[in-house]
Amino acid sequence: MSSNKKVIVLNVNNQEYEVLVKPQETLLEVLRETVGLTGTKSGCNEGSCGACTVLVENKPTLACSTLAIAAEGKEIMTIEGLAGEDGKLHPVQQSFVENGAIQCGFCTPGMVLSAKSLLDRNSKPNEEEIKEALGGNLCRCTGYAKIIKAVQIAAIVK
Amino acid sequence: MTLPALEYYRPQTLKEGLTLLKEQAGKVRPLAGGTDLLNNMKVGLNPAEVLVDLTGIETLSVIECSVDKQIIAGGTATIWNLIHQPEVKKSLTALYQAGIGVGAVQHQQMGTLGGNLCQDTRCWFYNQTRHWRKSHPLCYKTGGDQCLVMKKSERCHAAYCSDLAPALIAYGATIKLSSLESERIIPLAEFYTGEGKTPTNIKPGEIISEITIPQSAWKTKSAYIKLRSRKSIDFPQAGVAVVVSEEGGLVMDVSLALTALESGPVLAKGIGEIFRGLKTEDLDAGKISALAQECAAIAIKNVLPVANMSYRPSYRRQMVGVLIEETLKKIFVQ
Repeated sequence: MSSNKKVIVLNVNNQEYEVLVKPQETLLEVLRETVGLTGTKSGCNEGSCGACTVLVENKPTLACSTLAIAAEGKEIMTIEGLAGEDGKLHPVQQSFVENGAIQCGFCTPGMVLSAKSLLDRNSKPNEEEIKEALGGNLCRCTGYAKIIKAVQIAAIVK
Repeated sequence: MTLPALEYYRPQTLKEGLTLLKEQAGKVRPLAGGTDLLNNMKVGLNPAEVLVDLTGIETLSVIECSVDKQIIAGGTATIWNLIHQPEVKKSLTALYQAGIGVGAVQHQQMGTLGGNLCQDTRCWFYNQTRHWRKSHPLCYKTGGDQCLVMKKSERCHAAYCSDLAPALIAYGATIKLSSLESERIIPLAEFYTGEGKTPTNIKPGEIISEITIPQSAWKTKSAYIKLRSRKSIDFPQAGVAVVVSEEGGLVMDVSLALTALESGPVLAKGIGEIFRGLKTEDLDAGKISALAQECAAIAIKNVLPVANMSYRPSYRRQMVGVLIEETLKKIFVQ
């Protein structure tokens, strides 16, 4: 069967990328290998770890379980798009840095975007709400306590 | 693990989508959230040469939800959008608790009602990579002539693990199945075959286009509890949904449905008779415990959990009574 490549336009971090994709390529594969934004990580590649979390139309989305072609026409935010244009970190990013919420950093992009999404819809989450919002993002390093604290502090600062 | 080569279509109308499903019959699958289908396809399960993305059909994602009216949700309405409708958390508690138990926030925001109800059944011997599965004979579900778990059985015992299904069944929900030629509306409870290889009676070319929760659901009290290893991501090892209708301080009816213990959700028969006419004010923790055991004795007779997931079948069977007791306590005591 032919590979049937298609040209699509992906809106990533408010920039348009015209890319040639195979219909079966996931958003994760295209972001990392075609667009060149490697901040989004491939963990389990089966929708069970959250490392590949990006925001699609502001919704936390598993890029490994999304076809790139299905994301055409939607606003996609990756971790690279979170800081300001002047490089100023988003409050969630700043809080993660300042509060020891990063060890190896592999879960961090997905974790930060899930947290950002939470604070956008709930500016004053309690601990249980934070845990629920981040429940789809696994971390093998930190034991989560400082991640939760970082989100709590970001909520105050934001 | 990458997806196999495929063609992709994204119709904008239901008719367009159903036409594609008919024209491409034999090599096509409908795609919605993709969290179940795409990850199965990566390991060589649920093969398809063509995917028809239904999420471009706006009418399929609409939710009509007003208090004291029947709720009608389109097949590609997301789990998140349904459970976060106003008043659902307070009044349709089993639905809310089932929905927030599905995977994690990402799965709830991506996943659709139709996709969740049509999800494939699961088994240790099935949900593995091609490489792993080569080390075992084919089973019923992969084209063989045996169950690798229940060696003498004549059917597949893969487990059906939807959280939403038992809650919706306990509310008495119906679904509309649409194809290019016809539509049919059936109780959700009748959608499932009880067999693991083909767990639903969906016909080629059909999709779930609507899910309807009856108006009576607003007047019920309900709860759903899921047995799982972790507080997110995991499928259920067992799940119980209970829906109670009361009037004038008396219990009028109780529906109890189970998930993850069989190849389909199971609506336990005869539960209503145990409760009918009881005064709700009399239902303290002690009485509920005894009633839960009575319910569990009935429920367990209808399920045969097998050794195809993390927890032992005997433990999952034992936990049915515990889950029932916890859901009843949530409804009557807390």
